[in-house]
Formats: sequence, structure tokens, C-alpha cells
Amino acid sequence: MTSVIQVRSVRRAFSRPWGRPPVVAIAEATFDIGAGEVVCLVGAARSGKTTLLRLAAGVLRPSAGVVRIVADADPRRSIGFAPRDPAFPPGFTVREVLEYYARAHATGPERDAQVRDALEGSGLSGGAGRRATALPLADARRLLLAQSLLGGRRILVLDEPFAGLDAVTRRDLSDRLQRLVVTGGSVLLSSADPVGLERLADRVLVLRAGRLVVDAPATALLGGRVLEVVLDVPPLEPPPGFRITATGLEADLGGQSAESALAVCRAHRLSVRASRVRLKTLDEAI
Amino acid sequence: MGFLRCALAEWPFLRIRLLRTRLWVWLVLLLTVVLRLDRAAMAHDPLAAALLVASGSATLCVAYLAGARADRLALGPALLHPRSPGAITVGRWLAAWCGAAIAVLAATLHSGFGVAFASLVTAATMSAWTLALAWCGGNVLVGGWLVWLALMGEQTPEAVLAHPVPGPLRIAIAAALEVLPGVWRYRGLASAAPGATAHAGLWILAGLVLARSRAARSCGSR
Repeated sequence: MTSVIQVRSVRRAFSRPWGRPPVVAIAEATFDIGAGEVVCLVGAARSGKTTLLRLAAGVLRPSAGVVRIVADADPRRSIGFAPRDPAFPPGFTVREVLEYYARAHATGPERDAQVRDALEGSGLSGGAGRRATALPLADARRLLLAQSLLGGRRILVLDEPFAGLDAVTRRDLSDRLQRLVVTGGSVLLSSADPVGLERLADRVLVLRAGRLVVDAPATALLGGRVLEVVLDVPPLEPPPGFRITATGLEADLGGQSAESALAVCRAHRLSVRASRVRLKTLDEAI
Repeated sequence: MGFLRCALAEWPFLRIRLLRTRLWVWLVLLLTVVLRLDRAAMAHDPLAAALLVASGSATLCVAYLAGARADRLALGPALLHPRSPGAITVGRWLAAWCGAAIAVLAATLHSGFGVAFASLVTAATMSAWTLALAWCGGNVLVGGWLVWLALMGEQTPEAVLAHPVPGPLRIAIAAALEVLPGVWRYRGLASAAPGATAHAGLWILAGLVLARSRAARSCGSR
């Protein structure tokens, strides 16, 4: 797979005034973003996700290491970056915001076509006349996505695009991102909450205290199976290998079969009402 | 070419803010106060009145076009597209200056070319200086500058120091009047005085450089 962004041994520290020691936001990070790939950067708050995204997008310069963007000399021509917090000029409508940004990419009919495509690509065609600063969060995030698509940019770096969104909007946005990837785009996105990223991510990066601790394909992380058991009466102590849940028990199956795990429940005289085997979710895997 | 296109991209700020905010109301109010309510002053010293309109309208235009917190926050996303902080700064300055120029031309309709020229250059200087203020400290600083203009706009340093015992406050005010853009100094623009022209040119340059550096900082370390 061709790499569109290469991050090699990158470190980023922010200096502080009054002689205080600098804050190291990224201690060490090395990874690639391939063409047609969706990479999810997961980590707790203040783990350095936003800094790493800004480095990958060429918005920040690394203190050490190299970020190579395999595209134009100006990364802003090939990488669309959507920050976490929506900020649009007051008084502008959605269409005017996009026209304002699109003027940096094209002129005349080409600019109009870019705005139209961005509106359609983000699902904002119906609300193009609304004031951008009065948009609800879901539409503001769509507008951030739309502006990152302007200029025919196929590499998107999105900071917390699902933060604060309901399940329906999350699904709609991830469908749109998947459609973009199908047509040859690449996406690097961050999230503090990995729930729901399973259906989108090709690869998962986990960041802890400024260090990349996991870089693995999502299929490898999500390969594990979990047995969920619904009980009439939950036990006081779970059987070995099980943990208590709201409706009963669950256990990582690992190499054993579901039948053998259920046999353990029966051996502990637990009345099993129902059971199912499911794949691990991303938050369980990391 | 790219710089010019990006600078001109700031033009919608003037159109949208003139049509959708109270900016036009304030400009009309300023013109009414200076030209209609203070007719005697206008008849006596049309240049001073025109320079006051230029200073006030430039400050108001910058406040509405660039000084709001949301406008300053929106600078970051604008720089995520291939445009330079310099182009944004020059474009926003030109947009604010054009807004002020509308008021200036209305105020100097019956005055001579010299008055109109001096007022337009004053508006350009005040726009650049106020833009730097706006992007350094927002509309709080711009509002403070407007109050300064209202209180000290027509004063000269000599008049402030005329007191037998000036005291440190008067000396500080006189120094500020001497250094900062001021209506008293730009009276010389009407007669193309070199000192006034150089002062205005330097403040336009300094204001734009400072505003550009603030705009660049809004998008990280680019």
C-alpha cells in the first residue's frame, strides 16, 4: 500500500515561559497512513492526539523527527484538516463559509462546483442558507467535514469528528467517510471514545501519554470473541474466567469453545436463560 | 496572483457585516453626529471633522470585521486552506478600509481633494493599527482605542503639555499622542506634509506586520 503520510520518530514539545521545563506532548511516534486507509487514533484526554494530528497534517512542525507528506509542497493542498471545535465567521451562511474557504482553492465555476460537491458530500445541501454559527453540533461537524473536502483533497485529518454526536449522526458521518475511502481517499481521525469505530477503522493507533503504544490492524484487535450469558439470578462470585455484568456474566473465550465456557456456568449451578457469542469491541480490545 | 486572490477573498466580510450587522447603523450615526449635529465645527474646520469620521469609521469597521472573538477563532480554520496570514491580513485591512472609505467619501463630498485624500489615508492608517489591536486583544482594545479617539482625538501634544506643571500623566499622554496615529498629525496629509505621510506609512506597515504575526499564531507554528 502506498503511504500518503509518513511520520518518523516524531517528537513535539511546547516551550513555557519563566524558565519552566517544556511540555512534551508527543514523546515518540512513528506510523504511516496508506492510500485508501482509515486510521483511528485513540487515547484518553490529554494523551497528545490533537498534537499528533496537527503534526501529521503539517499544521505543526515537529521538534524532532520527520513528517513526510507524499503530495504537494503545501500540505494544505492535499490534506483537509478539521479541528475539533467548530469556529466559523459570524454572520456567514453555510454556503458563504464554504465559498470563503474555496476561494483559496479555485475560482469561478470550478469554485462553485467544489462548494456544491462539499455540500453534497457532507449532507448539508438542504441547510446551505443557514447561519454557520447557529448550526447544531451535528451540522457544525458536517460543515467542518465539508470544508476539509474542498479543493478535491483526498487525505482527511479529523480531530474528534464524532465527539458529542448521537448514534444516528455518528453512523451517517462514518458512512460518508467510508464512501470517501472507497473512492480512494485516506482518513486519519482521533477519538477519545473508541465505541463505534469498529465499523470504520482499518487500523488503530493507541496513544498513551504522548507515546504510540499500539499500531495494529483493526481486524487483529477485534478478532477476540466474548461469551455473554444472561442469568435468572446473578451470582455473588463469578466462576473462574468470567466477570459479572448487568444481566449476568461474560467471558473472553480465547481458544476455548462457547460450550465449554457454558459448561463451567452449569457446573457452578447457574441457571442460564440465554447466551450469545460476539466479537470484541474496540474499547475492550485496547 | 494567489496572494491577491486570497486577499480579495476577505471582501465578503465587509458585504456581510454591512448588510447583516449594526455596522451600517453605527456608521450612519457617526456621520450624523459629526456632520449634522456639529454643523458649526464642520463649517469651521471641515478637515478635523473629516479626519474624525475617518478614524471613527475605520475603528468601527475593524471592530465589526475582525475584532469579535469568533472572528479571531475563525482565523485558524481559514489558514488550514492554502492561503497565507499576510493575504488574510491585507484583505481584511482593505475590506475595513473600504467600509471606512464609504463614510469618508460621504463626509468629504463637498470638501476639496486634499481633505478627502487626508481622510482616506487616515482611515487606512487607523484600519491597520486597529486591526493589530483587534487581533492582539479583541474588541476590548478596539473599544479602548475608540474611547481614546473620542477623548483625545483632536488634542495635540503641545496642548496637553501647556500646563505649567505637566505631571507624569500629561507627559505620558503627550508621548502617546506623539507616537500613536493621531488626528492632529494627519492634518498635514491634506498638504502632503512629508512628516505626516511618513508617519502614516510607517503605522500602516507596522499595523499590518503586527496583525499578520498574530494571524499566523492562530494556526499553530506555521
